[in-house]
Amino acid sequence: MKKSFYGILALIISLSLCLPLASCGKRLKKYTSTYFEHFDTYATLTLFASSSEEYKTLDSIFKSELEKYHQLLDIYNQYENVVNLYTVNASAGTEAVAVSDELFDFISQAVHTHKITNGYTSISIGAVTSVWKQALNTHTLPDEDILAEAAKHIDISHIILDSTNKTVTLTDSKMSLDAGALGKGYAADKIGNALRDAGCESFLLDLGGNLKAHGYKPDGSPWLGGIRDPNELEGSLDLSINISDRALSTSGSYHRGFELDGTVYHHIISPYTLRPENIFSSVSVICRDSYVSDALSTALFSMSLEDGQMLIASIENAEAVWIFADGKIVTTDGITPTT
Amino acid sequence: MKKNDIILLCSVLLIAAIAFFMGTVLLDGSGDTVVVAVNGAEYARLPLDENTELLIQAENGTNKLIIKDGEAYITEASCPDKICVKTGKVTEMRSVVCLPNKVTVTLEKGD
Repeated sequence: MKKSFYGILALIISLSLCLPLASCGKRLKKYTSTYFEHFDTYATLTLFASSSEEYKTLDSIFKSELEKYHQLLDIYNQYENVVNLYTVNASAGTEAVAVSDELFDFISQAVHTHKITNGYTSISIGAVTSVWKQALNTHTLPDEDILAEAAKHIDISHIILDSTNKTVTLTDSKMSLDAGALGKGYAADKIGNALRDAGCESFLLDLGGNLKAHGYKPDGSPWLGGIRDPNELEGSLDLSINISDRALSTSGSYHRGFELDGTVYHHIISPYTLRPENIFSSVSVICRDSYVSDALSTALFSMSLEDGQMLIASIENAEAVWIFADGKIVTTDGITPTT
Repeated sequence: MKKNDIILLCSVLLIAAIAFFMGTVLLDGSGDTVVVAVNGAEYARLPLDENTELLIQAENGTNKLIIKDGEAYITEASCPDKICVKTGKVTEMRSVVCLPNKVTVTLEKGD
């Protein structure tokens, strides 16, 4: 009787001793990597892994995939043994360029995106965006004549895709492709797939504000994405959204711009007015794929609210938050703003 | 025999208590931590509940980090765009990033 009492007591004590150790052994640790060498922005991966070896393996996948898509969608540089957007642009007006399946897939998707966004998110707008890029760098407004001339060379129908031979032809020698509104989202999806295939069960990717999350955190809580009113007005919105297995992209006028005579000139150029619009200070889109959220947030930024609402309603499970320049906030029904 | 039992029992209980204490205190490290990184490498870890100032000497310039009353934010930056200053306070969902200086400020939640 006494013996069994001590036996049980010893068992309880040894179990209680093991408990913290056991949870410690299984404990998933949070790791973060940030790189600044890709897509002209930052790239951060936050993940949970059981060992630093596991983290290192996943981090090397992150870095190599990041490098791969950065090179593939780069319009400024050429790389050895890589046929990328630079290669396609350099051949504009001359001949068909044989591209990898992946680049062909990207350009095909981008042409489709041009159609569904009514041209508001367009891969063929390169001639105009390059004029504005110069303007943003020098903080001077572009010459109207140069802008008008550039606008003659943004016709999407001058991209000829041959799906049998996997070639791309730009039939206008002065046109150029620009993946600025699509590339980061596209890469986030692809990198996310690679990490998932490598067995990573819980991570958050942030490619310059394009968030993509997979799985839930070890404690069961979701990954959260934030939307904040960039105007920072009194009582302004500060929204946190469950983005586990979803993507969140925000397009805003507060990035990469300059102010002249009270007008903000930023990097999102409307293909219709040929200049940056200032109806909104930011527009965020939440949906399944980062490519779609990236493309739609750009499109919605330059569209009227009504046109944007119609577009977002046509996309399955997509939500949006429009923050007007004056601080007014409109959301889709699936989002409850908390102030 | 009975006395030895008690000694054994007490020492086992004592060890268990110490182990439990170590387990909860050392592993938990409760409280939120502000993590500053420059070009992806950890630069500083600061508790969010201690008011402090930090001048971050980054690759291409400096950023001034303030931690005050449980909030962390950048107040000054040597870069021209000042996006990190405009971003406001760091939250778990939103890091503050300075692209020109390659600085990230993130918030790590305590357990």
